[in-house]
Amino acid sequence: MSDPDLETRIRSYYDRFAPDDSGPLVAAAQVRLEEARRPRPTRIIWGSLRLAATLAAAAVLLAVLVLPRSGPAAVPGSGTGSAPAGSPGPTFDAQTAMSAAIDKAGLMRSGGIWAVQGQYLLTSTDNGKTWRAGSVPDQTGTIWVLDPDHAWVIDSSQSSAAGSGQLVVYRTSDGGATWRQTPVSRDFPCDTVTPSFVDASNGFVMCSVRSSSPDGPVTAATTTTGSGTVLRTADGGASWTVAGGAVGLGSGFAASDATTLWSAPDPYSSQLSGAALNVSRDAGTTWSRVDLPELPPPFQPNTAVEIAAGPVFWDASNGAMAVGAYFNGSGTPPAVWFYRTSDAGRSWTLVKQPTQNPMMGMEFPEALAGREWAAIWLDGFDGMTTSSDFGASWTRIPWSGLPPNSPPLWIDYADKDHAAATIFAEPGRYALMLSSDGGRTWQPADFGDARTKVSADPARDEVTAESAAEDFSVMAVKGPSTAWSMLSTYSQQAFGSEPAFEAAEAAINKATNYQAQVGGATQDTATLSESKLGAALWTDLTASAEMSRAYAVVVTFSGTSEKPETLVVAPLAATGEWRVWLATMP
Amino acid sequence: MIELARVQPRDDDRVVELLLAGVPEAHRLASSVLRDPIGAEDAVQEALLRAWSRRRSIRFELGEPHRWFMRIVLNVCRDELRRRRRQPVAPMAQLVEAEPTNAPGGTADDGGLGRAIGRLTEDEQIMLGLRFGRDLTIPQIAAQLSVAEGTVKSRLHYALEHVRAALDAERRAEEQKR
Repeated sequence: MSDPDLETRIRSYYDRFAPDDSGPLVAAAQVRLEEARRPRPTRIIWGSLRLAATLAAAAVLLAVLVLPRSGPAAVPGSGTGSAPAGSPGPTFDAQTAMSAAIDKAGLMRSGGIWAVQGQYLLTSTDNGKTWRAGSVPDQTGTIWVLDPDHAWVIDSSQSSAAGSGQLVVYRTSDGGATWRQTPVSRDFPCDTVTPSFVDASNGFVMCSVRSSSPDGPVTAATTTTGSGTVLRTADGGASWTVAGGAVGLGSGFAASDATTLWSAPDPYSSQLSGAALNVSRDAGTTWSRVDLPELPPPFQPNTAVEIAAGPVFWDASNGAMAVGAYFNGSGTPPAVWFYRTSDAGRSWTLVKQPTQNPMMGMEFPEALAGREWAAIWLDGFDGMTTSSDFGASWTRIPWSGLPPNSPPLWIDYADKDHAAATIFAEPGRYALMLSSDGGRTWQPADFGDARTKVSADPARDEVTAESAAEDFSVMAVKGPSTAWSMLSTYSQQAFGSEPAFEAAEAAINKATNYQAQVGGATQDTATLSESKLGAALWTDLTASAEMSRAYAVVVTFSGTSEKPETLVVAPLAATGEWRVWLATMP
Repeated sequence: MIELARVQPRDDDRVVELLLAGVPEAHRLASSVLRDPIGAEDAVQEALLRAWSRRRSIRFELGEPHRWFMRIVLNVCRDELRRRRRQPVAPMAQLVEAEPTNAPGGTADDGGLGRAIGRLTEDEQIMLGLRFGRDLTIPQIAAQLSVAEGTVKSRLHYALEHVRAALDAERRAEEQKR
């Protein structure tokens, strides 16, 4: 993306708008926020505001928990769309997808899918039929999953472009049941970490610096060359050594075996422009450039060439990658070259000239998968173009069940039939979608009850967890620890996380202008009856819920004319998964 | 009772802290996108109030509250760009006669860049603002806008093409006038 002349002009044009001083604005913001948080003058207004929010949130809760089973119809503003004409299949429903909300997902190096949802690490080796859950010690760190047992999380939050600091590497060998941590102090700049492990013992972390970071621009030296430093472990992450530096490298980092590493220049900060794929065959100590045939040479005017995806290796010998080129100012759209290797990267072969791809010019490929599918082209909202022969021929795959207005952010294939994708279920919220027919139809992942087997928060004192469960007497029917396990699933769905759930619960206990009356089904048949709940909800409940284990929470709003509400908490008869139903009392 | 699930009153301190800490970055972001100092300050204030009113949807545990606030800032900026676009357009002759400084982002010595950028779609203007004004990398822009990196790349590519085309058109118009 280099049109030096125009880009330089634009950049210097924008420079003049950089604000000199945000101090006065911060002061003004402080005043505004103080005004905003001042309590409302009358309690009635505040109460009704809260009530309105309650009802709105309750409607969302209802939609999330009840509508998925009664069909996606009539969810206003949910982003529900229809499948492309002529392709019968599932219709994407944002609310249902939220049940598969995740923060991150990917394929394990050994095969299978992993996902992080809040504090949970979830893995599946049967394409999403069953899941195993563990915890993650640090939800903002960079995670790398080798297999269902072995994963690493790198916390680089104390890292920056500055020349010294500390990384923390967490490691688990039991699927996230327990984690151990190793602090790694460093005397080199590092604001982006990219791990790559080849087996349970041997792994690497590339520490790189880009031209600018959220904390501000880095030093002149790193801006012009970029900088990468390779850390190496041979004992599964317990101890680390600096293997070597890789000036100008950092992107496209991957280890194909215990001694062979790959990396490319960061195209936005490095002077090593061009598709300069680099390789180290001594575990990161020294690096040399790999020649890629038939690419336009770097440094041509108005041309930018970079590694667009990969390289990926699915065994020690076979790999593939995509190289992209922009031709600014020529009117020629971006183009991509696909390369593959079968000799551990000693030579790379261009599969076919890029212009022969009929879909060229739309977007860059977002994924490269191994084994069965070589390249995936996300070129629209209603399907993708895939190649199983590294770009030599292409097949258009229309899909259904994915959002109508945004393509997946990540997509990859476990085998030729089974694919996983990350989508936006709603703005800012990711969900994991799965396909078992080669990417034609998609369903939200169903994590089942795996999470209930994980202690709610590994950091939390067990005693605290038990007393929290006891407080919520409605659920504490089978003893505190079981109740908490049940709550875990329930609260994930309803509240997103245990701390949020606890906060809600505490608020209920302290609330003054509404009261929650709690009772079990057997003790409180007066509450749980058709006449109280309404025919529709009653029918739904009796058809799907295990009513002998149902509990009702009646919420009344003192001092208002609002009608009481009833929350029914019950397990689904079919799966035992706890759900919540909501009714406004007639 | 559900509305209390996300953020508690005691968390309001945390929200205020978060928002105030984000103001300088929000200021830089809005300035880059709007190219108008007064408009940028207004946008930040507006974003603060929007963020405050939606603070119960902040997910401290799962996401990145900072990015959440910046997303609100960008949404406010997008609204402002859209509003500018809807304003009645003066006849071409008048535009050419007028001082170039009367449009936000336009200054006498920018060689028509301000106007050219002002003609792009809101999303393209945001893209250029983030890339060249705020100096974010492609991955950072992708993360901020919740779109794929490839999308950022191709949008940037086409935004630059459109700037170039607008500059060419401007130059031709100037030449005709002479």
